[in-house]
Amino acid sequence: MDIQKLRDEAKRALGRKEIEYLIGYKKGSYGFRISPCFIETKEEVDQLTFSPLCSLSLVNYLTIEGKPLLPADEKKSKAKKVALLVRGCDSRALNQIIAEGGISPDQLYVIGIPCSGVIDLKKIEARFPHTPDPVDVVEENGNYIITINDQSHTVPVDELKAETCKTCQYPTPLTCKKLIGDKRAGNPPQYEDIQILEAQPPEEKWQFWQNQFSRCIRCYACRNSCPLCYCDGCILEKLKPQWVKRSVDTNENFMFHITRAFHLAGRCISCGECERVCPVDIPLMKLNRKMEKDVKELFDFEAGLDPEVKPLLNTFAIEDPEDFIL
Amino acid sequence: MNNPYLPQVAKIIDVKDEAPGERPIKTFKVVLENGNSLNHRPGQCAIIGILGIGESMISIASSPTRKDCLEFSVMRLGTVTSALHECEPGDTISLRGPYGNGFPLDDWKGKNIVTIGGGIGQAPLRPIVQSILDNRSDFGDLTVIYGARSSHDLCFKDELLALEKDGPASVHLSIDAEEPGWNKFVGFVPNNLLEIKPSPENCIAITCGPVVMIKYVIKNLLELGFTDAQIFTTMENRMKCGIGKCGRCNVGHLYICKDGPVFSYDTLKDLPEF
Amino acid sequence: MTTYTLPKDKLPEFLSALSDYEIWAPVKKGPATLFDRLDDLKDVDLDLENQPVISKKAIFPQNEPLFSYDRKGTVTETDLNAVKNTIVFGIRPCDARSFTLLDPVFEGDVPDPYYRARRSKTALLGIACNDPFVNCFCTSIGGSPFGREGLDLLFIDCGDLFTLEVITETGKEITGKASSLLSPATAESSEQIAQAATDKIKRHIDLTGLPEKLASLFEHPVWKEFASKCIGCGICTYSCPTCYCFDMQDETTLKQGRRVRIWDSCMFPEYTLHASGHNPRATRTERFRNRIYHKFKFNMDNFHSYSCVGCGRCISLCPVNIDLIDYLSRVKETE
Repeated sequence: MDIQKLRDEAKRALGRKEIEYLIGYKKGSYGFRISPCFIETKEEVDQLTFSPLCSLSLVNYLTIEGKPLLPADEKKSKAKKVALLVRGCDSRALNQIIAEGGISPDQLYVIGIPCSGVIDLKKIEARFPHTPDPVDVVEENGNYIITINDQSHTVPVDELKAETCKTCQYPTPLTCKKLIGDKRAGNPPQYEDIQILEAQPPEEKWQFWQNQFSRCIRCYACRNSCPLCYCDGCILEKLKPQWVKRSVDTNENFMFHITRAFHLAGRCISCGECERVCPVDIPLMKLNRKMEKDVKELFDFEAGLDPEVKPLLNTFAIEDPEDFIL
Repeated sequence: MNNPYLPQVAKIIDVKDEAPGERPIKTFKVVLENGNSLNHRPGQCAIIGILGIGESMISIASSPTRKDCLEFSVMRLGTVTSALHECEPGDTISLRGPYGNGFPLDDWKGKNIVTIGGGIGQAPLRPIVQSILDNRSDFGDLTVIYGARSSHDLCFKDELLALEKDGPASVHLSIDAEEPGWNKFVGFVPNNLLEIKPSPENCIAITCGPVVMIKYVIKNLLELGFTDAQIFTTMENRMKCGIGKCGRCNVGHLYICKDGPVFSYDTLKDLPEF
Repeated sequence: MTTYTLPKDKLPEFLSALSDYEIWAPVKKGPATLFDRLDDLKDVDLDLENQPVISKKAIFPQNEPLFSYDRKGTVTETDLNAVKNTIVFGIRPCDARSFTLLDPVFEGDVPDPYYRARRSKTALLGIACNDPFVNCFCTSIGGSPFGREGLDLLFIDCGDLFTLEVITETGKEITGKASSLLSPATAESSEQIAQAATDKIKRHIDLTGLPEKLASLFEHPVWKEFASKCIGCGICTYSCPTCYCFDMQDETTLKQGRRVRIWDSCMFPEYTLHASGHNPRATRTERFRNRIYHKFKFNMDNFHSYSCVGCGRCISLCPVNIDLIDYLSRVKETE
């Protein structure tokens, strides 16, 4: 993707008087890191970047408590808009949140970027440890060309790409004002890893998830980096009644993750960020993708494809299957 | 080694509906089941609670000079205080403490004392009033300025009215808005303070109430000529451990549970977040 | 200082010789390297290429039952005599040092019996960092990759063998239990490896004057800017070896219950939320600022040290690149 086109478009957007600021990515403070950034003036636009290292969903910043830089009096600024960079998954997240009434589309100016998938930071940092200086990464012909201190390294895409992105069905933003770069075709649906888990006997599944959840420390990085986890007053924080105990043990961790997976059923847009930020490497996308697969099979529904379509589990259709109801 | 997290058992001997207002307040009289005294100082707090529900830091609303029981005035707000409001005489609660520094009453001997309270904020000031009444000759004039949203929200109304009548202290009650039958001051506590104009001469002023009220009371006290060192307040924050370890109640580098809850304005004015 | 060598392949035997102790060590759990209690000595994985999380839980567990109670209200204190003599093996020098920063908090005016019980019975057997990680900045904050502070024994990876430096009496006692496996080290010192390791640290910050600087910046708009990208998770605090804030909760089943203390995080709104709904740190800005002030100002006021050992985990694990070194540098430049 041509960064200059992105910057030009950002300049154009910031030139519009209704646009308050733009949420994008800039180079991070070290190594492979990318930082979200909030750009208010055309002069700052040159900070903007986009590369396979851009992992976090910027959609988070539209719903986060005390939205950054938004004027205090939001009523007065009804006419104001926020410009936002989205990838395919982010665009689905936006559609889903708009369908749920969580964001008004009138407040957004969306710049879309067809995405070739993000690099799993854990993988690239394991491959190139001790890299404090900022690096450049581009994708070319099935390889990542990684430039560290003027030295180029070529690594096959498959070795570093985030697992979720390898099965991405919608790399191109579905709904956006401007699209930078050429559309990309998605992959066909692929659930082999989920089918393997499904085929296991219950005891094995139980054991598998017990092992995974036993190490969760409940830092909530998964929840807080999830663009769809935007509830005001998450059920996990409720004290009356207290649905999930604060104690961090396998049982309570199960309760947390299963509750979260259920709340994301028909809503998760498979960005995979929850799994990537987990400090103890819990494969959360296996849960979310199982839900995604079930929702697809039972209701022929995919989250976030159209902001006009009502959220699946908020609606009822007479022909809905009910054979899973005991 | 003494375990500071282990609660004692206390028995409720009396429950009084203190203020039936929108956010009801009840006053609990309790005694330790082992018959011991808590040996607290006025202004200190205790952590009371119910096993299985949790604990809350509550100021001790009675003076150590009143030895028959400990009193706690509790507003029903969260999980613990709601459960406490369900308690009846004969029920037991958990209790640990006392915590915090308390008021330096010994330093105040021979001085005139003004307490300025708002709402439930009168509870921590009450032991000052009681201690002075019980050692009347040790102190100069006692002035009690106290207000609440409405007459239904005023705590300790009967005893304050009695005090006003009997004369060992001058008492000035107020409510925020007009009510039929109310012939005392109507308006906010800081304004009542300006009406009464206590003299800063040889005087200590202690205030407790909502944060906004405290800020305006301090402003007005300074206007009346009180110095920073003559002004005291007692504060609250969410607390868990009571011993300065769990982290959450800090104001700047000080912990309200351990370094407070009583602060002179001299200390407080330099703290960030105040 | 007494120094021994231990052939690397004798490590399992060395640990077996310490079977009187409960042993904690880095273990591989899935792809992650975590500190955990060892059920099987074979599970030890020093994994020098990855920075393990989280060693503080060996002494300050994420959940600590304070006491239990029954329906009649009978309280049974947790039996702290049951705490076993423990060895934390493979802890990094920064993490070991963190306990020396936690000590004044948990001792203080009112000593914490739970912390003390574990701390007094735990020996820290460190592994020197020959190869510091990308965000390590221990040397900027009073530590070093070969730091001995807080440790009883220091293991130094010298290729085929470990060099063991005995630092304390406890360390001596422990080497005594495995003396048959150890040989006295030749005079060759570890200074060269230590220097090489220190030279590999690429991130530095001069913290001189930081607390004074912070004292003048509390109301500065820079905190809002810093906190604007924070997504408010607790990964920085939970992975921090010097963060100690906790919550206390009653957890009850049908017949009995327990009061338990659980790690908490100042980054969560609930942490300071009053029952009235008032929150003295209502926004991410205030919470983020408090975290920085606690570590670099308030802790200095109270205990004359920073509450940070420069392990860099908060930087490495932050999903949105909140970089402590970068931010502190900017604080120093802010007027």
